[in-house]
Amino acid sequence: MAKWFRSEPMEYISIIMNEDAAHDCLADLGKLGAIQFTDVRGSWAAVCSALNPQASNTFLVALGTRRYVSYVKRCDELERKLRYLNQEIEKFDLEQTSAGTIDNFLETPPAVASDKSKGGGAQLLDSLENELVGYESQLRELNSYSEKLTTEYNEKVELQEVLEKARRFFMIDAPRLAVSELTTEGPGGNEQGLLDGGGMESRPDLDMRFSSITGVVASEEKTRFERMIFRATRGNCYVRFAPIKQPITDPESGVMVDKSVFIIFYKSESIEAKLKKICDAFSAHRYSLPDMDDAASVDQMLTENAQELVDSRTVLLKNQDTRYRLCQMLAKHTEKWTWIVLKEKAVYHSLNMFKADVSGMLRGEGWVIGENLDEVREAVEKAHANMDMAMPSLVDHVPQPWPTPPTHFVTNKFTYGYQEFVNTYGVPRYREANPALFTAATFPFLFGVMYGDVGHGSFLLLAGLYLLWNEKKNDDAKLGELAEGLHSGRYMIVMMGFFAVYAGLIYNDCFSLGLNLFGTRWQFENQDSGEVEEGAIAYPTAEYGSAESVYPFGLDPIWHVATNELLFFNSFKMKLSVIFGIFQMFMGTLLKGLNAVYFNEKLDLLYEFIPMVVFASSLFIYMVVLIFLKWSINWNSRMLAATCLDPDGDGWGSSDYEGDWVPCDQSGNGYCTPWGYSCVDGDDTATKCPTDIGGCQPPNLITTLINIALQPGTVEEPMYKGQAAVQNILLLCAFISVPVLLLAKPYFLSKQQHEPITHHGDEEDNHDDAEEEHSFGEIIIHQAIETIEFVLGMVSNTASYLRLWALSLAHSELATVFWEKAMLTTLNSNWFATYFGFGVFAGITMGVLLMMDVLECFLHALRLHWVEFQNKFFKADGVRFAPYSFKQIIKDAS
Amino acid sequence: MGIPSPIITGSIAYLVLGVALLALVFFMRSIGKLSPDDAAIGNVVVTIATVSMWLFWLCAWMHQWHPLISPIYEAMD
Repeated sequence: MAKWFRSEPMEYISIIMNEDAAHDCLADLGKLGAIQFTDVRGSWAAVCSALNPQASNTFLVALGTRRYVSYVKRCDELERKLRYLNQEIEKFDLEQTSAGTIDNFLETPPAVASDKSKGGGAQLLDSLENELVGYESQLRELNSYSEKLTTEYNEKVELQEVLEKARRFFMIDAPRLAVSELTTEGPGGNEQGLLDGGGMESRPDLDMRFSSITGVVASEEKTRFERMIFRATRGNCYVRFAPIKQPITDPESGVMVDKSVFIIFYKSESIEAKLKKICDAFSAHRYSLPDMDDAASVDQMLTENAQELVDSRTVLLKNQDTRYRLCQMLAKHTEKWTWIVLKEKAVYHSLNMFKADVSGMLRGEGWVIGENLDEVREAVEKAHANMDMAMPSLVDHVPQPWPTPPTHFVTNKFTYGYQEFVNTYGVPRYREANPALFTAATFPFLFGVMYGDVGHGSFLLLAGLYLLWNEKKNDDAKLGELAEGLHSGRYMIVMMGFFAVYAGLIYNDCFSLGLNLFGTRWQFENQDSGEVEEGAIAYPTAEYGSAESVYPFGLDPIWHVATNELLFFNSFKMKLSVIFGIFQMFMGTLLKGLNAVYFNEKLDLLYEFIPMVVFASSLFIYMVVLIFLKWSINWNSRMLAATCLDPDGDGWGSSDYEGDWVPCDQSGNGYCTPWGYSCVDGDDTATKCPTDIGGCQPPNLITTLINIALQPGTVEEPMYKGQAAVQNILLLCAFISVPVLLLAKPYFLSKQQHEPITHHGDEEDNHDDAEEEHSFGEIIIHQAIETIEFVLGMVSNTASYLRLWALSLAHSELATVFWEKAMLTTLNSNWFATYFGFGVFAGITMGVLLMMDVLECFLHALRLHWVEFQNKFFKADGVRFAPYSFKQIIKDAS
Repeated sequence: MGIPSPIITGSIAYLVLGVALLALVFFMRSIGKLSPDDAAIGNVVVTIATVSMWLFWLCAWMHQWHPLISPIYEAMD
């Protein structure tokens, strides 16, 4: 069968390589991505390095610990530096230039000319380190300058505002405060207001000169600030505010804030300290101004500050420009550097898993994909040959026994999704049968059975085809999580859509309407004139049970206009679900048998697989047989065979009865059955039915099945002659298979374990016996669980498959309701209502049926696979193969 | 009684469909668009799908062969 059926064969190898060639060798192996290294150093070394991180390298090396830890740490440092650089680049909204595809990156050799005598890789790390250290320090310097400059600039801006506002204060208020010659002018448009006369005397009194504090405070805090000052100074100071029109950047927080300039005039020195503390509490910046009398110096300060402001701004812009250009240059390379660092880190991390062997050799072990062993060997040899002096190396199998191999599947764009489904449930055991191979076909099919609508299915199909159409484009593009998921599941969606359309054709459901593609096989009276009575029963257009009486493909569309539509459909869908379910579970059980054959487990094959098959067939395959049998029997004929008719009447001789009409002697009540039995009043159907055919009534299959177990030997409504005897035999088979399943394997296992014991001496007997009983008990318990799980599971899982019926019923009922309520009612009224009705119909169909129902059917189909199908055979206790692959590492990091 | 002819015709139709799809897989393999492994997967998927589709159709056909109830008309208002 396909390679996908069982996981790839793995081999456990050991690699011995020279220290100097080690880096290049591992760099080549990382490109292959075919090997998974196991850590041969063990926990002792890990404990040592954990306990004593400060120990010198030589000491640790002597202990046998990882000697490449320092390299890994250097790579971590570089990663941190690169992250910092990326942060800075993002601040300028620059985009990192892509370093090309990962494959291209891995193919190009490193730009550094490698010195062959020393490890070439170490050189690469050194040179990259130097570069990055240089750039990082440069950027950090520029950043700190920028911060300092910005703070200074903001302060100067504030000072500018303060100076301007303060000058205005002093121009208007100062004359009043200082010199008395000036008359107290009226307000006269002076929005600063007058100092009222209270407490102020206009006399040339130099004592009345006030000290002032000027500064800037946030406008929000203004009122509180003022109130606080008033309280603290008991009203002995004079505060004036002037708002700054535009918000300015606060030097400390860097945020744009609305600020006001304030000036506080106070007389005594004692409150100066208090005022200063209050200013600090409100984070109001104070600026010391020269004596306001001296207008010249104020002006000079203003002009000086203005000049400094301009200069400061120029420097700031220049600094920003330099930073921008530096970041621009860096943006071209950072992605490439990141990938180089990731690659180097991976190389050194893997090198750490090697152990130092004799003089200058490193030894490591790992799992390699069987197919790629030769490639690996070649790569190692090539790396060694490239060195200046030819060095020996060895790639060889580790002697058996090997530890548990990891599981690896080679997947392509089609198989990837299904394999992920299975892996999400559990990674398959090494080389066991992979359910994903079968899931690829059965999952979309069961989805279709549940979704079953031509119209909705074709939308799904179109969506899938659209995804396929854009396949190439989406492969390379960076997509969001949802889009990525849809893209990787595109083949699955196409198949789901296809099977949904197919199921829709079989169910004859297209947006809840039936399609009359082949001509319906039923007729109503007066249907041509359009006046069919309510409750009229249709009659078939061809003879009952003939080939022409059956709608050739799918279900007859007449049922969509029948009141007993659900009765018919439910019966069909339930039987269908059970048939599919039993076949899928039987296939699962067969896979168990295949696994037992492959792994040479005779016990499993004979005492688990065979009883399981016997149990499943005797009861459940038999049920499927009964279903098909009931479908095949001409019940009209059978029921007619048990009907008492008048031999001289019209009904006698009708073609419905398939046998020969035999007139009877009419000794009873005068009526005869078609096969020649004279009816007697009070006869029941069983007596009237001819004995050679079985029964004359269509039986209820569920009752029949239950009565196999509950009433063995009696069948109330038999279908074929000898049904009771056959069912008894089947019951017996099923009955015997359960204890065989429960007890046979533990018995043989214990027998196997007992044999070696007889060779040992007596003292060992007791010890071994105790151990053995302990494990024997476990075996019995394990087997009991298996048996119960299988037997009960067989019943409950079969019932679980009825969700195929339930979901398809839900889908068709929802579609019918949406159609009838939104479209049919509005179509029957007027065009305007129809317009809105269609909007509602489209919207609700999209939301409920095309999105929610797709997810629901998807989920339930998946559940059927995970639980009902897989628990027949799937062990799922494998370990996933995690290869040392640069491609994977780089992909994971981005 | 024998097997009704539509069942035979239908089954042959599905058989032909299955063979055609298998031939398609074979063709894709021979022109190199599918690797031999992928072609094997294709064969398995085609087989299972065709058999399932045939079974689905067969069940639908046989359910209507000897119906036990007849449709009763439901008048639409």
